[in-house]
Amino acid sequence: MNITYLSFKSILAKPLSSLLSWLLLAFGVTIVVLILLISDQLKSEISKNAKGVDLVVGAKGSPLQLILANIFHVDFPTGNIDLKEAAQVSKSRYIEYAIPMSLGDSYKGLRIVGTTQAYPELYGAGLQNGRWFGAHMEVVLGASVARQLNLGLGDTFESQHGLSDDGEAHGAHPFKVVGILSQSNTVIDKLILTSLESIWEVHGHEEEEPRDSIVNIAHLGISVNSEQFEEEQITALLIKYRSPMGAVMLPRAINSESNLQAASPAFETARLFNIIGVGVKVLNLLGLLIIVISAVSVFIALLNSLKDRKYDIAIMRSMGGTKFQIFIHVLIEGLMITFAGGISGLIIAHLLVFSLASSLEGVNPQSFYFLNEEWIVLAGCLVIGMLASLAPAIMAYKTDISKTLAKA
Amino acid sequence: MVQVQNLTYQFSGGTRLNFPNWQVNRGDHALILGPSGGGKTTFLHLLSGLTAVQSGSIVINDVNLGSLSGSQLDRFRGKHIGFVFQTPHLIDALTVEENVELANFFGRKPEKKAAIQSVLKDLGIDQLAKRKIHEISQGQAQRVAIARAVINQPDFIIGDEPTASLDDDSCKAVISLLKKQAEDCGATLIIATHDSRVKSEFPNQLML
Repeated sequence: MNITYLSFKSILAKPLSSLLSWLLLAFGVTIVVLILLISDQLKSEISKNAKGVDLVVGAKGSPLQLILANIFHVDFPTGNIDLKEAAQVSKSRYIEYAIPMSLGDSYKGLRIVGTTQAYPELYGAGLQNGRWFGAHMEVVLGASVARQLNLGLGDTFESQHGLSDDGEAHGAHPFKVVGILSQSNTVIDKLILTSLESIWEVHGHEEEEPRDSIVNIAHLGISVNSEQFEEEQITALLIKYRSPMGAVMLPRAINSESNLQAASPAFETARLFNIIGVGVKVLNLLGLLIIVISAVSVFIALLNSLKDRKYDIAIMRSMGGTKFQIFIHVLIEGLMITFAGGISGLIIAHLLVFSLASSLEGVNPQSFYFLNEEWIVLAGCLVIGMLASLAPAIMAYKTDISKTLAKA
Repeated sequence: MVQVQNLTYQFSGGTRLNFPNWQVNRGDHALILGPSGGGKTTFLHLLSGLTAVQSGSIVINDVNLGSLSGSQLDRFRGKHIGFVFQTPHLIDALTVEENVELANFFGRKPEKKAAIQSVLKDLGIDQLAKRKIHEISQGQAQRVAIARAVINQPDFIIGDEPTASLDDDSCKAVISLLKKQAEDCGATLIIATHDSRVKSEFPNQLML
């Protein structure tokens, strides 16, 4: 027998009001922690995927769309740009490297990206099996793609035009799997990579047999024939500056002097967070409001129960219990409910993240990673529980036992 | 041993009670008689330190209650005094056994499950040890209250109208149980009552 056990039993003795307080708090904490977890992981996900890319250059349109489509692979591309123009831009002395990207096809909803080997290397993704793709209709699968589609080396498939499942099939040009990437926990795990030439070939631009006059585009790490150089298109370039001067000069030069558009991932994602920020704030406020309501419910529940427990308290005192023990008894009761609510909220939020993990597009959440803010939320719950039970505990402390017993 | 001298008590409303000087020796079971509202309960609360002494003195086992602080009074009460009230006032959230254990806890005595079991057995309620309070009868509850009062082997067992709500048979049973338990643990019974059925049982009587 001890005070904690006594408080615990007292909570169990009024299951309904305890349940209400617990539920409210658990719900409020779930909302707050869920938002914390998701926005934190979204941020780390974004910075991980945008690492090494200072600028994305593509067709004119929404800069945010350009970033979303070419870095995170969640939106549709803004359109295509001429290879010739891209080659021109990439010659700039402010650029350390530029990676060409060609989007627009998919297989079973997974995106096929025409690019160079520099792209997977940007994310530090090495080969787990097989070899890198060559020029002709060969693909390397991201780690999750290989798992999800259950494709192995040597398997072939036909791509679809467009990024949705119901696109028209490119019947005559099957791709062949020649390599599988190792897991990198970045967006590249969910992509199918191939060469730019293969994408062009799928779209019916047959390579002409006698390869006359090869054009070597060293900045992009590719070489094409002169006809391709004149006619073909790509979707975007991922660019890394050579020096901070690039950030000052390049975007302005590209946006004002060409038909191309340059967008900075850092700037656009910050803008995106500003847009989402309002919703996050409202949800956070809602969560906090529910937590406060729960505190009020703990307060009312304790205050109500004091009426019935006046005799219990008087009896405990008559048995030798001190005022301070009674005070602690009521305080611990409030704290236990809020602690249980807070912990349950944390657990529920993490379970939700865990179950959302598979369905969140473009994000690989880690469900069992705890943030410092979560401990603050938990400590906040205890403070709120303390505040809610303080007044009832003081009232219990001040109970006039003699009067109470005399009235019995 | 209890010694009461020149004890008076003034309520905040202005009513003043003067208590006669009185002495109870060890093992000398005593009765406090008087009509309702005559100050019996106030006297018991003063005796047990539930109400602070205003003037006069109460000396129990050579300790002057007036010289103790609030929490010292709580400890003194827990150590030396067991209570039985008109209604049992058990804690509903706990089982029969836990209610008795609670007296161990608040009286700062080591928990002795075996002692609890044997007291419950003496009172004929050992089968109910694990029951919830709402699962036992009023008469059984009063026995639990007696077990709770004696478990710490107090020097005094103070009863405030312990028989008032009982029928004749239960009244007799409770008085004899209280006497027997008091003798078993060497305690002195002090009972306040207006119940004439109890009068003949105790030679030391104080009229208020």
